[in-house]
Order: sequence, then structure tokens, then C-alpha cells
Amino acid sequence: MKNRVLGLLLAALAFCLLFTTSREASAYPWMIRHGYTTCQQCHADPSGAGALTAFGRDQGDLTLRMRYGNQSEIAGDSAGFLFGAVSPPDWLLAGGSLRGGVFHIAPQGIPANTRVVQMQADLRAMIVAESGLRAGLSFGFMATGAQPSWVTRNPEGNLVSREHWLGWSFAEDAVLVRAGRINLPFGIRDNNHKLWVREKTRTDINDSQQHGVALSYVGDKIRGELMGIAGNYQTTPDAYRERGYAGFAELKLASTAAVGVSSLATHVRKDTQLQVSATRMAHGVFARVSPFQPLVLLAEGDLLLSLPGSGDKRTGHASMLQADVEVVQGLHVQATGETTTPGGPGSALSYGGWGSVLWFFAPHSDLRIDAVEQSVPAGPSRLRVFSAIAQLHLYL
Amino acid sequence: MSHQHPSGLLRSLAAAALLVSSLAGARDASATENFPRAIGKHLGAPYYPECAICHVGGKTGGGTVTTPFGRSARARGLVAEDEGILTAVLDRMRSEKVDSDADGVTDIDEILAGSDPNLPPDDTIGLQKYGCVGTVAGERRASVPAGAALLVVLALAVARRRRRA
Repeated sequence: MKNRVLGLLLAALAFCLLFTTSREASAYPWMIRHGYTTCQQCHADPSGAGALTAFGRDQGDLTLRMRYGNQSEIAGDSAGFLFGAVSPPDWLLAGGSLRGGVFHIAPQGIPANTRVVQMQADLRAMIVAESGLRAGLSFGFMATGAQPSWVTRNPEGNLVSREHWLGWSFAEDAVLVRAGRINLPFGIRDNNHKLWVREKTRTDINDSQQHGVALSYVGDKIRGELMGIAGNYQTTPDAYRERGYAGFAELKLASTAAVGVSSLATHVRKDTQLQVSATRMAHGVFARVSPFQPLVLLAEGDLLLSLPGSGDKRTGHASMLQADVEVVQGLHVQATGETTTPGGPGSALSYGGWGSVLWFFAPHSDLRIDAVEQSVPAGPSRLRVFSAIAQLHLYL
Repeated sequence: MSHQHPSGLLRSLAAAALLVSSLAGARDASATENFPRAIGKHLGAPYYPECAICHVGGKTGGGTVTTPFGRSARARGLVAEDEGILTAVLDRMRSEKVDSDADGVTDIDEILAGSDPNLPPDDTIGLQKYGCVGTVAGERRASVPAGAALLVVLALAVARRRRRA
């Protein structure tokens, strides 16, 4: 079975590479279709996501959202912070995100449930001083969930800080050294934290950030980041803090094609899942390719290794192949297939498919609808789970 | 790339957007996410247990109900999303005096006492807690994480240096 999965992964990556023809990503890694192979043009975080640069705000207005026939090549005033109502100084990148939606889940043979979910209510600020000083902070509120990023510890309704770091940028912003709570540099940075490649590697940008020191480099051909992980200091006791490293390197093959490798290794005295000391590793490859303008293919395959202090080594995987088609500017249709195995005794394959529509319908606003069908092992049998989610995202 | 005005599709998506935005202000009505609340209320506990009582690390999702307490509950019929079954399972665990971590105190008594029904008697590490300030489940200590304190110190040092310059 393992050979078959690896074969499928290799076939997926070969397919992506085969369509590498020409033409720079972020929490929207499919922006590579516009020639954006790197993230730092639009995001203050060189590896993507979070506070937007002035250029990123302009692109949000000109390239990302539906234009309804507007041919202007100049971004509207509404592209700015708070829809242009406030103009922060150049050294301050201010922003925020509100995300909420309706979640429906219908596991086979179990009553379906539909609920409203508050996903994100964060304010963000980043200092980009001419001296090279960089500082980033996000602060928000979560009614439920996102425990690893809690600042307060109430049963419900908590303040969260997903990121807070201080750094120094030099070599004309090609290099950034920073320390604090940082997104783990690994794989394709996508804001869908439920993708198995993000969930199983614990490298999503929802709440998997860790404290540590990171060095990032963004060059013409190569970009990457390496982080020494000191653990999540928003959880106690210390025994649950993972320590080690995470990093990725991505090579630009063309203006719309890039391939990369990722690696992560941590040790923890008490793993949250295994409840014993463990060394956890993930090593993977990923690719982002836009063979022609409306289509972007994203692929990632990660080998998951878990070495519990007591017990046998577990070897699993997580993989993902996604096709994103921008039907008209601002309207995306996505198809995603994913697989995972946890490894270990009796480990069985889980697989699933996502059908998604993303509509960037107005300045600072997008609507996303996902339909997900998954088949997961449940003891000796399998369980099919259908879920759907409609979410509205507004950024300041 | 085409830039045609997709009016029909736009109207459908706009209707969906209105539905989402009208619901976005409503209260979270999740059954599974309400399980901690339902457990607390049904047992008469003075707090709501954390998700970590069933889900390893408090991270919810498929295949994560693998704590000893979670496994005991599943073995007695617990399924996702059904609050009615949850309360029946809790009653059964109470009557069967289930002690998932084998420390001599039943799971239900541990929940009522604010201790963790998942910790074996020889566990010296304790339950994982999230957050830095405030109290939960009878915990009295509050702490500021070392990372955040370090950042504050660094920020003050940089500000001082800039003022001097």
C-alpha cells in the first residue's frame, strides 16, 4: 500500500512538472498564476500569510477580487486599511481578519449537524522601519477552538495571539531574522488548516505556530526559511512543548512554476497524541505550477515519522493534489484530493475530496463554499463523512 | 482569461453570501463543540471540561477521540454530534463506575472534582493546559509565557536605543 501511495504522489508531482511551461505565494498559493512565486511582495511575512504590504493591498483590489468590468489599473482608495478610512504611516502595516461561517457535517449513520462557527476575529500590526527593524503582532478573540494560540484560559471565549515576533531585515529585505511566535515554515502555506497535509504535519496557520528563532531568505530563484523551535509557550506544562526545527526551500523553475522541499523534526517529553515522549518528523516535497493562465496545480506529499519513546516507529504520510481554476477574475473553482495514513499497527488509508468555490466578490471580502467527502477507517470498517462549509471572510 | 459578467452565477452566490452573513452573528450551536458544556451541565460540574478530555491535545477532528476517557465513552456508544447519546453514555459510565486512568477514582468523580480522568496514577507531568493568564477548572496560578516576556524586554531595549539615537 505504501509503495502504491508513493507511486501516486510521484505521479502527481510528475504531472505537475510535465506542465511546467513558463511564468510569483502565500496563504493564497495559487497567486503563482500571476507570476508571484514569492510571498513577500504581498505579505509582511516572507513565507506568506498575515499582514499585507501596500503592494499586497493593491493586488487584493486589482488582481484578486472580481472587477465587474472595471478596467482601471490603479487600485481604488478602498484597498487601504479600513477601506481607506485611515492611512497608517508607511512603517506600520495594520490589518485584521473576520471569518465566520456555517458548518454542516453528516457522518454516515449519525445524525447530521449544522452550526455557525466563528473562525477568526484578529487584529494585526507589523512594524517595517527603515532601519530594518521588523515586529509583528496578531491579537484576537475566539469563542471556541484554536487552543494552542490562547492567551487567556477560559472554558469559552478566549483572547488569542497567533503571532508575535521581533526581527531584523537586511540585505535589501532578502534576509529576515526574527524571534517570537511564528508560523512554522513547512510545505505549501494555505489558509485551509483542515487539509491533511497541514493538519497531520501540525503546520497550519490557524493555531500551530510555535515560539522560536527563524531565518528566512528570499532571492530571485530560491526562497526558504529555517526555524529553530523552542516550543509553544502558550501551553503548559513544559513537557508538552516540542523542540527541534522546521524549514522549507523552494526553487523557482519559471515565473509560474516552483518546486520545494520541507523538513521538520521535533522532540517532546509528552506528545499530545501519543501521551508518551516522542520524536516526530515530517519530510516532504511540494510543487506549485500554472501551466496556463486559469489553472494552477498545487501538490504536496509528506512522509510522517513518529518515534515514540516506548513502542514501535510509525511511518505514515499525508498528500494533497489541488487544481484551482479562476473562471473569471475573482471567482475560483477548486478540486482537491487528499490522502493520509497515521502509520502504526493497523494503520489504514484515509482519503477525501474537496470541491470548493471561492468568490472574491467585493473589496476586502470573499465567500468560500466547500463540499468535502472523506472516507476514514473506523475500527475494522470504514466511515464516510460528508461535510460542507460556507464561510465569509472580511479583512480590514 | 475571460472577464465576462457572470450575472446568473453572481446572483446565486450573492444569495449565499447574504445567508452566510445573516447567520454569522448567531451563537455557535455546535453539538460536538457543545459536548464540554453538555458534560458540565449534565453532571452538575462547576465548570466545562476542556476538549482534551476526549480529544488528544484538545485538537478536535476525525480520529482524535483517543484519550482513555474518550475511548471509554466511545466503547459505550458515544458518537459525534449527538448530545442525547452523550448524556446516556455519561449516565452509563457513572453506573458502571468507569475509571479510565485506573487511579482508583471514577471518571465522573474526577470530572466533578476538577481533576483529569485521563491521567494514570504514575503520571507526573499532568494535563496539558492552554493559555497564559486566567484560571480554569480550579487552577489558581497565572503566568506570563517566557517568549512573550522576552519580546517585551527586547521591544523596550530597541525603543530605548532608538530614543538615544
